[in-house]
Amino acid sequence: MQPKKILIVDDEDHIREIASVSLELTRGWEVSMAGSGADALRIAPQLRPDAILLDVMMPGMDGPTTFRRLQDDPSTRDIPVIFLTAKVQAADRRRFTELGVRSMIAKPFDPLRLAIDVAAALEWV
Amino acid sequence: MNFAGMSIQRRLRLIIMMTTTVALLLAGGASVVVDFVSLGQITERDMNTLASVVSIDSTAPLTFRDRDAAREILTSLRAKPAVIEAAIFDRSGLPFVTYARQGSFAPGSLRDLRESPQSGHIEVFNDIIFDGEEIGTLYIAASRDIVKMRLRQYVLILGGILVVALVVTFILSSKLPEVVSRPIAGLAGVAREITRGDNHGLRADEPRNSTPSEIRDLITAFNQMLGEIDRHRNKLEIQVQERTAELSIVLDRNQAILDSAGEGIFGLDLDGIVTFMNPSAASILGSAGMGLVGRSLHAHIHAATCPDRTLPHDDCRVCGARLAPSVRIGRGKFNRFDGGAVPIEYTSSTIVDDRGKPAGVVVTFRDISERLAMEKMKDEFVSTVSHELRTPLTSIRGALGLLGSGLLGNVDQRAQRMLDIAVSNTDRLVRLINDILDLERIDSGRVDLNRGMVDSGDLMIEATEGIQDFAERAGVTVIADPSHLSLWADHDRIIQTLTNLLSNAVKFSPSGTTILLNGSARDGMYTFAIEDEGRGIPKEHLETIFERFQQVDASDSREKGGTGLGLAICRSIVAAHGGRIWAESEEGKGTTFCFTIPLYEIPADSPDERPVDAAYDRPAVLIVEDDNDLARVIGASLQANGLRTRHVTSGRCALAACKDEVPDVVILDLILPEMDGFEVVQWMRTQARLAHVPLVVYTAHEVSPSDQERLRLGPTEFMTKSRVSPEEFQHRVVELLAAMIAAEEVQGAA
Repeated sequence: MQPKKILIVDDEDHIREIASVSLELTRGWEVSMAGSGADALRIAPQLRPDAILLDVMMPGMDGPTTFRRLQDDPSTRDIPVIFLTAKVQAADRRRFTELGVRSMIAKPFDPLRLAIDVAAALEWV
Repeated sequence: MNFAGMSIQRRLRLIIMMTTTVALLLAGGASVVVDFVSLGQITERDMNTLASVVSIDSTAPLTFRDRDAAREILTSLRAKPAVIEAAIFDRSGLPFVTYARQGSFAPGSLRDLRESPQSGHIEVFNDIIFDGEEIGTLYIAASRDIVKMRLRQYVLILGGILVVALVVTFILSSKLPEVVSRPIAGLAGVAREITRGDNHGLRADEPRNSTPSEIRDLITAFNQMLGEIDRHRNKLEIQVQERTAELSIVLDRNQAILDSAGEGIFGLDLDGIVTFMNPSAASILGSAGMGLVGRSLHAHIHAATCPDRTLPHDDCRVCGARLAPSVRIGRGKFNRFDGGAVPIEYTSSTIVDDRGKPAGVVVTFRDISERLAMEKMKDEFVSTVSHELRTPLTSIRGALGLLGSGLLGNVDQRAQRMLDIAVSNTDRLVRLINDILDLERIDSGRVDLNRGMVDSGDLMIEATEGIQDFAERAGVTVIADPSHLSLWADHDRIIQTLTNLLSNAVKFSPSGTTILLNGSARDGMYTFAIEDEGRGIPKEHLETIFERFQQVDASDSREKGGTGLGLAICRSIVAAHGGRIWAESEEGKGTTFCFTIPLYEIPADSPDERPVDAAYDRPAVLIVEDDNDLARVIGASLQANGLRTRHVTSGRCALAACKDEVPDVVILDLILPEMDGFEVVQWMRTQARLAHVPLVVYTAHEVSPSDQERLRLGPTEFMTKSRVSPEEFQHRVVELLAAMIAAEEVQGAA
C-alpha cells in the first residue's frame, strides 16, 4: 500500500517537527510541512496530500480562513482537513463542523496516538 | 293629628291653642250648666210665688163665682211673658176660668193635667184656700223658652270669647320663636356651618336673659362640645403634622436612595407604563430618557437587535408584570435616547399588592458595557494564555512521548522511568490547564449551557458505558439503574459531571467493589446518586471537597492523577443548571455523591421551547435548529401564517419532541449537537407514525444528491440557508403543508 501523504500546517517549528516525526515513525507516512496558511495554499495543489493537518491559530492567515481558501480551489476541495487546535470547546467544535472540517485533534496531542486518531477520523482502515 | 315632622313652634302654638280652647270650653260650659240649673230654679220659684199671690187674689172671685173677676186676674198674668197657660179649677176640679197667652187653653179636668204633665213647661199647682178650706186649685204653666234663650246667649258669648282668646293666643304664640325656636334654629345653623368646614371657631350666640333655662343649658353644652371637638382636632392636627414630617423624612430618604443609587431604576404600572425613573436611569440612557415617564417602557426601551423587542409586552421578561418567577435577572440592550444602545444587566421584580396580585414592576439595571469590555479582555487573555501555554506543552509532550516510546532508539531503564514521569506530569499539567479554563468559563457564565430535553436514563447509560474500561482496569463494577425522565439540561455537561463523579468513585473504590448509579425525581428536580463502597469521606470534608484543589488527602491528587478541580467543575456545572450537589458518607462504608438537575417542564424563560399556542388544531411545525436566533426568525414567520411551532436545539430533543406529538412538518438543520440531521431522519424512518412526515432540510451547505436520498422522509424539500429568502422559505413550508393535507384527503376519500 502506498504510504499516505500528509501536509502539516503549523506556525510552530517544533510542533511541525514532532508531528512529522510521530507520523513517520508510527505509520511511515510521508509528511510535508508548511509554516503558514499561505505556504499551505501554495504547496497543497501540487502536493495533493491525502490529508491536511491544519493549525487553527496562526498569525496572518488562520486555520478557518486557510480551510475556506482550500475549499474554494477545485484542486484542493476534496482533500480532507483535520484541525489541530487548542480550542476544544463545544461551540468551536460545532462551528468547525459546520464549516465542513472533518475532525479536530486537540493540542497537546500524544505523538503515539496522532496517526491513529487521523486514520480513525478519515476512516482509513 | 299628625305631630311628626312638625316644627317646635307649630307644635307649641297648637298645644297652647288647644289648651286655651279646652279651658275656655270647660269654664264656659260649667257656668252655662250652673246658670241653666239656677235659672230653672229661679223661674220655678217665681212661678210658685206668682201662684201664691194669684191664689190669694182668686179667693174672692172663686168664692163668689165671679168669672169675670177671675178672668181678669188670670189675664193680668200677661205681664209675665213666661206664663203661657193658666187655669183656675173649682172644688170639683173642673176649670172655672182659663188663660192662654196664645190660642186657647181648654183643659178637661185638674186630674188630667196632674196626670199628664207637659214636658218643657214648668207647671205649678197651687191650692186656693179660703178660711182654711180648699176651694179650688190654680194651675200655671210657664215656658222654659226663656232658659233656652239664655242658654243660646251664653253659647254665643262663649263662642265670641273663644274666638277672641284664640286670636290673642295665636298672636302671642308668634312670639315663641324669640324664646325657644330661634335659639335652637341658631344652634342648628352653627352646627351646619361648622359641618361645612367654613369656620371651626364659630360658636352659638350667648343666650339672652329671656331664653328659657333648658335652652340656655343646651347652648352652653353645645358650645362646650364644640370647644372639646376643637381641642381634639387641634391635637389630631398636631399628630398628623408629626406623622407627615416623619413620613416625609422617610420619603426623602427613600428618594435620596433612589436618586443616589448607581443603578437605573424604573417603576412600571401593570400596563408597563413608566411611573417613575431615577436620575441614574436617565444618565445611563441619556437625559432625554426622562421623557419615558408616562409611556410604555417595552415599546421604547429594547434595542433593535434585542430579541425581547419582538415579544408581546406581557411575555417580556423585563417589563411583564404577570410572569413567573417574580424576580427575573438577565442581560439585554436598552436604547439610548441620544442614539445607540447600551448593554445592561437587569433585575425585574414584580410588585404585588396586599392581596398578592401583581401591581407593577420595578426594573433596576446597570450599564455593563465596561464589564463586557473587561470580560472580553479576560476572554482574550484566557484564550491567549491557553494557546501560549499549550504550544510549548505540545512540543514538550510530543518530544517526551516520542523519546519514551523507544521509536527513536532505546534508553536505559532509569532514563525510561524519568521519561515516563515527565510524560505523565506533562499530561497532568495539560489537564490542569484544561480544567482551570473550563471552570473559569462555567463560573463566569459565559459558556452558555446548550440545554435541551435530555433523558436521564440515557445519560446514565452513556456515562456508565464511557467509564466501563477504566472501571474494569481498576477491578470495579459500575452498575446503572436508569430511570427515564426528561431533563432540561446540557447533555455534554451532565455527561461530564457523571463521568467525573464515576471516575472519582472508581479511583477511590477498592478492587472488587461495586458502584451504583441511580436516580429519582422529586419536586421538579431529578436527583442522580453515585454510590460507592470505598473508604468514605470524613464528615468535616464533605463540604470542602467541592472547593478547588481541596482533596481529603493532599497526596490523592498526585496518586490518582486528578487535578483537584473535578468536583469544583461538577459543582459549577450543576449550579449553572440550577441544581445542587452534595456528598453523603459514612467512613469505611462508602460515599454517595448526589446532584439535582431540573426536570423538563414547559420552561417559562424560553418561549420557543414550548408549544407557542394552545390551539392544537393548528398544524404543528417542529423546528430543529441549534441557532436560536435563526429558529426564532423562522418560528415568528410561521406563526404569522397561523402555524404552531415548537423549537428544539438538538437531534436528541427532536426525537423527544416527535414522541410527544407527531409534527405536521419538520424543519431540520443537518449539523446539530448530540445527534445530527441524518441520524434524526434515520430514526424517524423507523417510526411508523413519523416515516411520512413532510420535511424541510434547511442547512448551510448544498446537500449532495446521495445525501438527499439519505434524508428523504415524506415530501421533502432541500433549502440552503444563504440562498432562500425567509419569504420563499415560509411559502414552501405552507405549500408542503397543503400537499400533506391534500394527500390526507385523498386517503380519506379512498
